[in-house]
Amino acid sequence: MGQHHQTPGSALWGPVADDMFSPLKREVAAAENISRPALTYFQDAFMRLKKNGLAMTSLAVIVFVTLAGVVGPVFFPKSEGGVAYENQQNSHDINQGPTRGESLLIVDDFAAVPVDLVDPNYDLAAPLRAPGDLLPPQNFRIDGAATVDGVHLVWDTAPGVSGYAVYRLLVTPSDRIKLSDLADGTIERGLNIAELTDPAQHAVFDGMGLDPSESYLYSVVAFVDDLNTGQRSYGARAAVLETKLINTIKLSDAQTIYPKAAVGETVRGRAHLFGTDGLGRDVLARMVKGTRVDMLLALLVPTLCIFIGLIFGAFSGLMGGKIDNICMRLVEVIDNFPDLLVFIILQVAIGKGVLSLVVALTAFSWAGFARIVRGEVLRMRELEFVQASRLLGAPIKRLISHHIGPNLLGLIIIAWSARIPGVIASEAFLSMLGLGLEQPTPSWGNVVFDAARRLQVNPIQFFLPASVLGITLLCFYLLGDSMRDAFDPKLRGRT
Amino acid sequence: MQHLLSWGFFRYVGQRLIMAVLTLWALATLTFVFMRAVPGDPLTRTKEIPATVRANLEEKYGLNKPIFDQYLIQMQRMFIQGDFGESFRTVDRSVNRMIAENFPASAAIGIFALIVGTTVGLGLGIVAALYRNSLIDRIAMLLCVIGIAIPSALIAYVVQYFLAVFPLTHLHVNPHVWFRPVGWGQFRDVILPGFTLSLGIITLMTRYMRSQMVDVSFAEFVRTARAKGASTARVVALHQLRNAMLPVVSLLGPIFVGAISGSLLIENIFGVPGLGAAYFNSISNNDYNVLMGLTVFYGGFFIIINLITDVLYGLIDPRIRFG
Amino acid sequence: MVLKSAMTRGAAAALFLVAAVLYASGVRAEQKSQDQRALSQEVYFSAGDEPPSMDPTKQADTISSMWLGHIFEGLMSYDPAGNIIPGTAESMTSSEDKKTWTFKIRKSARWQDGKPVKAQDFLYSWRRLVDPAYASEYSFIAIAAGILNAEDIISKKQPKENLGVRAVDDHTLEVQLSRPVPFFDSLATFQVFYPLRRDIVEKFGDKFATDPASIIGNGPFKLAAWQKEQSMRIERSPTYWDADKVRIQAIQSPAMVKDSQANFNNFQTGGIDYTTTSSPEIIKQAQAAKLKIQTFPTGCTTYIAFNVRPGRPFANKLLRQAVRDGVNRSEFVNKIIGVPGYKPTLGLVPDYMPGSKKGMTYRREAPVKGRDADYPSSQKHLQEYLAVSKQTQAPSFTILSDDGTLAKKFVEYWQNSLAKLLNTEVRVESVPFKTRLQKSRDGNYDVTLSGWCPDYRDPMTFMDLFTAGNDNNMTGWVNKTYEALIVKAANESDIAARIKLFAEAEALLLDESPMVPLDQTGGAFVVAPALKNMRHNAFGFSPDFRYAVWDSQPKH
Repeated sequence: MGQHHQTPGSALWGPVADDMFSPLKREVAAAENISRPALTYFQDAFMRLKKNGLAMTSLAVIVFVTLAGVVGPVFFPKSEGGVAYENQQNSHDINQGPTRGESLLIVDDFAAVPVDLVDPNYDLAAPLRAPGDLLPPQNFRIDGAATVDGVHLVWDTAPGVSGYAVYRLLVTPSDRIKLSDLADGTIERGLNIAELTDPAQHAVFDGMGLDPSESYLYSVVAFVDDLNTGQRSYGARAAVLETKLINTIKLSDAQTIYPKAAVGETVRGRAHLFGTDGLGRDVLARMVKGTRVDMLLALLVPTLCIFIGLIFGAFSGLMGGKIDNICMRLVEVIDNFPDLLVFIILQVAIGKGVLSLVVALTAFSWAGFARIVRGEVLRMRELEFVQASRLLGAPIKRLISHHIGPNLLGLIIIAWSARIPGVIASEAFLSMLGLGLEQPTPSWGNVVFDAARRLQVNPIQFFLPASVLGITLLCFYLLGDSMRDAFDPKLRGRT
Repeated sequence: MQHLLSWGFFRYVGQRLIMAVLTLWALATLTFVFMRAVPGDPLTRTKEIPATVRANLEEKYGLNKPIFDQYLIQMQRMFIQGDFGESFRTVDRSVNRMIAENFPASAAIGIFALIVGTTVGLGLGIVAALYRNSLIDRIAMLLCVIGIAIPSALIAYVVQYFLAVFPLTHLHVNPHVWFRPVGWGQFRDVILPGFTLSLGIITLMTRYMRSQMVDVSFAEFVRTARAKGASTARVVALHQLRNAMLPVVSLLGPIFVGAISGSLLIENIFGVPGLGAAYFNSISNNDYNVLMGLTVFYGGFFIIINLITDVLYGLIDPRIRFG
Repeated sequence: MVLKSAMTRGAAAALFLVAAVLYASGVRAEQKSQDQRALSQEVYFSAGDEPPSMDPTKQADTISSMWLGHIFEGLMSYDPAGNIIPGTAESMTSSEDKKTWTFKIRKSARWQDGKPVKAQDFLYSWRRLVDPAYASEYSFIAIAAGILNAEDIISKKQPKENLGVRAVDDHTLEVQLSRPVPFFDSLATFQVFYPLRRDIVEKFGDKFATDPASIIGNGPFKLAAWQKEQSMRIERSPTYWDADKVRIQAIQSPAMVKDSQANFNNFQTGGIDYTTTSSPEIIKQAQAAKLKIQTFPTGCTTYIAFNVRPGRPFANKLLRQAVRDGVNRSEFVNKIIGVPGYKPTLGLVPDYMPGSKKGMTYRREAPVKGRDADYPSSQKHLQEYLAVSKQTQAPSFTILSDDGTLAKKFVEYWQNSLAKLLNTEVRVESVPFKTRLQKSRDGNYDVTLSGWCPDYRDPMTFMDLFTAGNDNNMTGWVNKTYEALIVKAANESDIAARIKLFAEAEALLLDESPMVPLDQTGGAFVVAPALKNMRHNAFGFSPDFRYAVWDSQPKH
C-alpha cells in the first residue's frame, strides 16, 4: 500500500504551496503486488452482506426489537406491591382496544354490591294471571349510577306473576332501534340476564361483561309458569330503558397513577397503545417484556439444533454403511417420539422456565436437520472436488472444514433462519397448552394466542401484536436469506 | 434401471425392513417408559373413583399387574397380534378401529395439503430462483413469511372467518356451493383445512427449492449445457430441475407424514373427523393404549415412507447404487 | 414438456386419491338448509365431541348422556321446567321410611323393536351396573343411592343377585334401600338406571352400543346414524309411549366440533340451529349480532380449596376467613369469567337445589350470612391472625393450578388479587390436569382452585364432600361436629329436618372455611328464533330437544 500524506490543518481551498506535494516513496515490493488485501472468508461474507440494503434493514429491525426488549421495560411505570407493570391487572380496562387514556370515575375498591330487593308484603298466594293479561312491569328504572361495574335495575312488583325475565341489548350508534319495537318484542331483546323465579324480587344487578364503549337497552318482562305442564309463558310487552355506562377505576389503581386521587373524582387513565388483555394488562408492555424470552429462544434453540444435527448428520453421512444405518434409525425414533409427552415429563422433572423450554424444543427437533445434513453430505461426498481431495489423501477433518463445511453453510443458514419462526410458533403452541413459561411471565406466544380470540370481536387487538411477531420473523427470514447468499462461496461476485 | 432388480437391492430393502421393526420396538419401549413416568393413570378422574370400583377397573384393564408384565403384554399384543388395544376414553372403541375410521380424514387433508403445498411451493421456488431479486421473488418471500410467521391455528381462524363466514353473512353467497365454516363429507370441506395446512409446506418448499435452484444454476453441467446452445427451458427442465429436486425429495417423506398425522387445532376448528384430537387427548388423559398405538402407527408410517424415499432417491440419482 | 405433463398427471392422480380417501372415510351426507329443516322438523346442532360410550351403564359424561337421554328413558323423567315427572314408570310410591320404593311400569311402554318394557329389563341393567366383572366406573352411584347390598356386591363380598331390587311382576319393580334416600326419584332419571335388554346386550357382546343396529332404546328417539368423531343422527321413534307429544322428527350433529368460535361461525351461517356461547368473546359477537342469548346453570360450584394440614400457610382458620371475606366474587364472575349464566355465590350448595316445599329452594330456606367483598371484615381477620401468630406479614404461598386456557387466566387473577388482599407474595404452579389432581389428592399443595359437580339432586352430593372419609376431600379438614351432622342428615327421612341439618352443617363449614365458594357455573346459548321450547337445566341431560318444536319458518 502506498502512503498518503496530508499536512494536518491545511486549508483545502487555500493557495497551493510547494510543501503540499512530496514525491511518493518508491517501493518495489508494493509495485509488484497484484492482489487486493487478503480477505478472510467471513470478512468477505460480511462485506457482501453490508451491500444488501434489505438485509441491513432487517438486521436493524431485529436489533431494534431486541433492544426494545432489553431496554424498553425501563420506561414502564413503576411496579406496584412487587408486581411489575406488565403483570398489573386493571378490572376497569379488560379487553379494550388501543386507547390513549380514557376518563374514569374513581370508585371504592370494595364497594358493596347492591342486594337483590325483595318485597316482603308480596302476596305469593294470589292467583296467577293468564299469559295474555300480563302487563309490562311498572316504574322500571336504574338505582344509582350505571357504571361498568354494574347496573342496578329496579321495578315495581305486580300481583299474579311467577317471576320476571330481564334482558339486555347491546346498541351501537349506527343502530336505529325503536324502543317500541323492543317493548313489543318484534326484535330480539338480546342477552337474558336473569329469570327471577321469585315474584317478590323486583331488582337485579347486572355487571356481566359490561363494555364501557357501548350503550345498552334493558328490558324486563313478567312471566307465568303452568305448574302442571312446566310451560313458561311470557308477557307480550316489556318495560324498556336505555343507558350509557360510566367507566370507573378502583381507588387503589388510580392511586398508582395519581397518588392523591380520591373517590368520586374523574381522572384520565393510562394509555394502552396495543389495548389490554382479558385481565386488563397492557398488551404492549407484555409484548416488550416477552421479547427477552422469545429472542433468547429464537437464537439459542435453532443454533443448538443445528449444532447437534450437523455433527450427527455429518458423522452419519461420512461414516456411511452400518453406522449410517444405525444413526438414521435413531433419528427415526427421535423424530417419531411424542414430543408433548417429553414436555410434560420435563415440566414435572425440572419445572417450568426458559431452561425447560430450551431443552424441550431442542431435544427432539434436531433430528430433521440431521437428516437433511446427511443427505447433503452423501450427495457432496460424491462430488468431483471432494473425491479429488480424498484421492489426494486429505484427512476427514479437512474434508469437512474445507470442502463439505463451506458448501453446507448455505443450507445451514437457511435451516437456521427457517427454524426461528418454528421455535416461536412452538413456544406459542406450548403456551396455549399451558406448557410454556411459569405464569404470569409474558411471552410473544401467549400474548398473541390470547389476542387471537379477539379476532372476530375487535380485529385490531389481534393484528397489532401479531404484526410485531410477523414483521420480526420476516426480518429473520430476509436476513437469513441474505446471509445465505453472502456466505455461499459459489455465489461470490454474482449477486 | 437394472439395479432395481439386483440382489443388492433386495438385500438392502430386506435389511431396512428388519431395522424398521427394531426401530419401532425401540420407539415403543421409549414411549412406554415416558408414558408411565407421567403422574396419574388413565383412571385418574376429576372425581376420584372409589377404591372398590377402582380395583375392579384395574383388574379389568390389567393395570394391577406388575409394570414389566404390562409392558410384555402390550408389546406382545402390538407386535405379534397387531392389536393396539382399547381406548380408555372412548371405552368401546379399539385403537385399530379408531385408526381405520378416523385416519382417512386426516389423510385427506394431509394429501391435499401436500399436493397444493408441493406444487405451489416448487413453482414459487423455481420462479423465485429464475427471477432472483425481482418483484416476484420478493412476493414469494412475503407469502412464505406469512405462511410461517403466524402459527397455523391462528391462520385457521383467519381463513375460516374471511373465506367461510364473512362471504356467507355479509356477501350472501350461495351456501350450497361456497365453503362451509364447519363440515365434512364433501370435497369442498377438504379445501379450507387442507389449504391452511399447506401453508407451512409451501413455505418450506419454496425456500428449499429456490435455494437449490440457485445453487445448481452455477454448476458446471448447467454452464456446459448452455454453452452447447440448449434453450433456457431445456436447461431448466432437464438439468437444473432434476438436480435441484434431489435434496427436496428427501424432505418429502417427513413432510408427508407430518401432514397426514393430523393437526389438533386445524381439525378441531374445521370439524375434520381426524386423529389430531385423539392424539392430543391421549396424552392429556394418560390414555396409554391410544398414545402407544398412534405413536407406533405413525412411526411405522414414517419409517416406511423414509424407506420409499431412500429408494426413490436412488432412482432419481444414478450415482447411488444399492448394495 | 415432459416434466410438466408428468406433474399434471401426478397432481390429477393425487386429487383422485383425496377423493377416494374421502369416499372411504364415509359420509357423503345430504345436508339440509335451515328452511328445509324447519319444514321437516329437524334440528342440527354440534355435540361438541364424540360420545365416549353409548352404553348407558358404562359412562355418564355430558355428551353421552345427552344422546342417551333422547334414546332411552328411565323410570322417572324431567318436564320442560325441570320438575321430576313419571317416565317409563306410570307411578312411584315410597314407604314411610323412604327405604322401599315401588315403581309401576307403563303397560304402553315399548322398546324400539316393539317389545314391551318389563321390570326385568331394569333388574338386568341394575345388576349389570354393580357387577364387578363388568366394572362400571359409575357403579358408585348405586352406593350413593343406598341400594341394598350394592357396596358388598361391588367389592365382591356378595353375588350380584343379592342386589336389593326385585321384579315383583312384569310391570312392578321394587327397590330396597339400606337407608332413607328421599331423592331416589331424581336418581331414577339417571342414565345408569335406564333399562337394558338382556338379549340385545348378550347378542352383541363387546360390540354392544357401537352402531345403530346394536342400540335398542325405549325413549322418544332412536339412533339412526353414527360416524365416529364426525356426525350422529337420531330420529323420532314411533314406538315411544308418548310419541304423539314429540314434534321434532330428527336431531343431528353434522360435525363434532369442540371449538366454540367454529361452532358459533357455523351457527351464524345457518349450519346449525343451536350452539352454546360460553366465552366472553363469543358472547360479545352474539350481542353485536343482536341475537337472543339464553343462560342456564351447569350445576357445579367452584371454590378456593385450602390445604389445612399442619405446617401449611392456611392451617390457620383466621387467615382462611380473611380470604373468605375479602375475595370479590362478583368482579371475578362479571369481569374475569364474563360468561352469562355464571353467578357469584357465598355458599357451597347451588341455588337450584330444591327445598322442603314445592317451589322453594334450599338456598331460600337456608340463606348464607355475610356479603361478597367485605374488605373491613377481611382486614379484621388478617390483623387478628398477625397478632395471634406474632408475625408482621402473612406467609407467602403457591396456588396449584392446571394448565387449561381458562384455568390459567383465572389463577393469574387470583394470584394478583390474593397478593393484594393479604399483602404477601403469591406464586403459581400450573401443571397438567392429571398431575394437578394427583398433587391435590396427595395433599401436596397450599391453595388450589377446585370445584364440584353434583351426582344427584340433593344437597348431600355437595355436603358429604367435606367429610373425612370422602376420597375427594383434598383439604385435610376434619371436623367431628360436621361429620355427626352429615351422618344424622343421611339417616333422616323428614325433608324439612334434613334441610335444617344441612343448613347447620354448611354454616359450620363456611365458618371454618377449608374452602371459599366463588361461583356457580353456567353457560349461555343461542338458538334459531323459530326453534322453541329447548330445555337446558342443571339436572338431567342438556340440551333437551324432546319438547322442542319449529314454530314457523326461520327469519332471514
